[in-house]
Amino acid sequence: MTRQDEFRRRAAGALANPRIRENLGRFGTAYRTARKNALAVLDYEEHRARLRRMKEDAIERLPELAGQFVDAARRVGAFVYEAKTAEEANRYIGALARERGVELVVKSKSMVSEEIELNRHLEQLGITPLEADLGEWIIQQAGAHPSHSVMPCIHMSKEEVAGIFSKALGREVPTDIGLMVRLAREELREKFLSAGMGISGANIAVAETGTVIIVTNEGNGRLVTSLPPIHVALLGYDKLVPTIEDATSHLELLAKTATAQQLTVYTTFITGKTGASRIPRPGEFRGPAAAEMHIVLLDNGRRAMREDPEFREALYCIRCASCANVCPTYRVVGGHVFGHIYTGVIGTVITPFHHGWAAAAVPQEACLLCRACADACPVEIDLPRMIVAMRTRIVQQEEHEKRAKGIRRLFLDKILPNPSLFHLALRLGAIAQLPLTRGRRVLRELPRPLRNLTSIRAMPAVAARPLRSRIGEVVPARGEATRTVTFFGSCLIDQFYPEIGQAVVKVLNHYGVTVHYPKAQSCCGLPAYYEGHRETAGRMARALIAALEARPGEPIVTATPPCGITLKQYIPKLVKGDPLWEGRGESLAARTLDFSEYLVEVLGLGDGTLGDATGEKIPLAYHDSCSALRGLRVQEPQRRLLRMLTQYELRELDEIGECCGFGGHFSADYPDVAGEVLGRKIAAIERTGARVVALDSPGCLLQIRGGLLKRGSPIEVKHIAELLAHALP
Amino acid sequence: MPVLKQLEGRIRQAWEESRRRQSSILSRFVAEVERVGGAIRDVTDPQAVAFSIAALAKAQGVTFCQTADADLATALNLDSALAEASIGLAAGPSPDALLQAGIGVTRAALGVAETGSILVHLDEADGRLLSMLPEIHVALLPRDAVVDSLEDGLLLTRYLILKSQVQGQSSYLSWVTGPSRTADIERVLTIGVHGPRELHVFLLPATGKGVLP
Repeated sequence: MTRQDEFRRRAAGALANPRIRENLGRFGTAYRTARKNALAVLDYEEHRARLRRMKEDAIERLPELAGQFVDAARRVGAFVYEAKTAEEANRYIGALARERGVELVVKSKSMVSEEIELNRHLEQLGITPLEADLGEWIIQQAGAHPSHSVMPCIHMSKEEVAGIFSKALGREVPTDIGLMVRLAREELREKFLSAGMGISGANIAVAETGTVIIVTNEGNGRLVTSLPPIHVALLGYDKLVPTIEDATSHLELLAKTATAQQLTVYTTFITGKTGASRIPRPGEFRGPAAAEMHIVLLDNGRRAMREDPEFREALYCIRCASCANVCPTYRVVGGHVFGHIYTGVIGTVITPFHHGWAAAAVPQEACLLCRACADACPVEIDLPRMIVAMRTRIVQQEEHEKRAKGIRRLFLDKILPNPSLFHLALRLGAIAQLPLTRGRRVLRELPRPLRNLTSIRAMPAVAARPLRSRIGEVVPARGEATRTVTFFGSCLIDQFYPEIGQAVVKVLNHYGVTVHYPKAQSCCGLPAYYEGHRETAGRMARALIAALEARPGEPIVTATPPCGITLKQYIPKLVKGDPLWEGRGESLAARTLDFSEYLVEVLGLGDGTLGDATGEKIPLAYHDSCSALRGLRVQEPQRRLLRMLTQYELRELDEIGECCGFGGHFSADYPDVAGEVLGRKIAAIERTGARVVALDSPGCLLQIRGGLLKRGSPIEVKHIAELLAHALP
Repeated sequence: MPVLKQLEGRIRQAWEESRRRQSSILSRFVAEVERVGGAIRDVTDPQAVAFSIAALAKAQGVTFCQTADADLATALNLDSALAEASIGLAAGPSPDALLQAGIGVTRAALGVAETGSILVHLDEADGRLLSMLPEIHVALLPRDAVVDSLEDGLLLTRYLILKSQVQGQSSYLSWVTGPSRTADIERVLTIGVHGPRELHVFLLPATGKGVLP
């Protein structure tokens, strides 16, 4: 089974449970607003930059900080054990519990203990580990795993939870959340007193003083570390910071981004062992009388991550789960599909280092590369970059083991990078589709094996005449030419939507711009790059540089933002270090502009009106493409241009910036997941009452227009260039 | 130790600054404590504290209170005020009574206006358990021990911990921001899971000693 097949299988399981997407969808919507309000009280960008610098510094100085931490903690009587592997950590904690005669262990939330599967190890030794965090306790009683690192049972309904309570307590528990919380308090209170050992995680470890900082809301963290005589703090080296003051931005941002609180209820600083409680213990208590504190510092792949320049920044994570909360596909499939033991985007990115590449290969398929996570990350971790880096290594491994899938590999590595073959294939497609299209521009249903392409949306037909056959290499401006540009058309515009290309040219010509359209251009290589075929992407990058550099200094305009990112960001990266190409890649990037950006920033459009409509204005919604919004950071020019149009009234969508679910290959490979994401986008569009949707990316256009057509909706979808061209005199 | 000296200098500076803006800091603190679900009471007469606690106990049906701090109980005349209301009191360390107390009374070392947090700094396990086990936690905070920002609060936290640490002394401090809460079941906010269901902060008259111990 390929990783794609396996992902489809797992996603189908999650899709069969509507509760997951209902809960996560609802939470994701509420989260956006609550988080925004929580962050409004401070200068977010300043704290974010401070936190980033602090983590960079701390990870750089990790060996030094670790030494300092160990010495400081030992000075106040804590035992520190440095575990290289999960097995070592498990063995240490298990042996300690046995030696001290401990039978019951209470735990506060610790993702590291999930990472090393500590509970299983303790159970094998006949020791009972009991989770005390309410969500973790519910998950443990259900025999399941957390699906979210902050809210472990977010995928469950209260009815399910009541069922779990009833089974655990051996009596009927009604579906009353307040009552269930009381019952958990009573049930666990007893256990806190009987337990000989408490195990906690840590959010931060302070080198200067050997302090572990634990943040909790329920108060279980303080009980776990105060009632049992032995406290074991289990944490990774990545938690080290120089001083408590260095943790300021960390604590400022963690609660605000994780749960939209100003600060978690309990922020606890534990430095060394303090005396044991003398509270009367029940008869079941087994453990020592004197207090002990043990700190287990875990490597388990962290040093390897630190030494890997592509993945080092994953160690900066503060586990706020923002990347999961804003992720459009996580909100559909949840953390049991998008994750291994660690969930969501960051969880998937660190999985190879803790649990191996095989464990990460399937979950990473869930990423649409919409970049919402990178924007939401309070430590500015470039998660999408790391997802692509993962794919690259996975593909290399598959190539090496000769497991690469034939057709996909043939298309990405042989056809796509070869312009003659690629265009020939499309021309053949244009002919082959004739019995299905019967002259129409839309394909509502495709037969096997292409049925996936049309299961959630209609597809555009391949254009009978691509853009390259419709316009020449030079299209002169109307009147006197004041400027010239090179137009990068993109495959989607060239082969599927040539009318958008013609609209771009018409608008530019109208404003005195002569358009050069070098016919040597072909695909920019984005599909190969995103799917991890880096070597192919590198070849295609060089071919595109060569095709577009005939007129150095001339701006390159594109009306396809994902390809714009390739030109501006990926191509320079792909040719970096190659003395023949590096400089040429950089100059290509520097010349590239998005269509709207060019009109507003270079031509100075964006004020005044366009068109002569006087009647009632047509409501129009604007959909930001992920690529323009978060990749190219172009957001205002499109709106300024649309406000010029006298025919329309611009309306904003709820949840601006949510992906439409296209994601290139994603919507073809995983239409059911993409369809849920698309469904949310269409609902948002319908809520605005708009009759027209404007957008700036042909990919989103394919997805949203196709989705609306499939639903029989009368709402029209237009590229911004088409609306402008139409309004010109 | 040079680091400690330097921290002391910065703390004094921060305290001078906050004293100048004390009334605005205090009103922000009051608002934030309430926003996170805590109750706050401004007590100008220290003798009124005991009566307020007695009244709270009566209103909540609590029959037994405890503080691990015998000096505090004496200074506030807790004993007689509670006895008058027929409410039991354990003053001083009494681990046997820990599970009986409906109200735990502790000192708070500091407050932070920005987040409405109080610092419970009790190294003795049975002392701090009084801020964890009872349903109601009453924290007594001198009004001049409130600083403006979390940043200032963490500067002080660093100082307090480091000062003990260099002498080889362990410590246990918690910034407490409202009563215990969870939203683990269907994201519904529920107050009082493992910790206190109610947090009452009593603002006591200024000690004039500043925030440095």
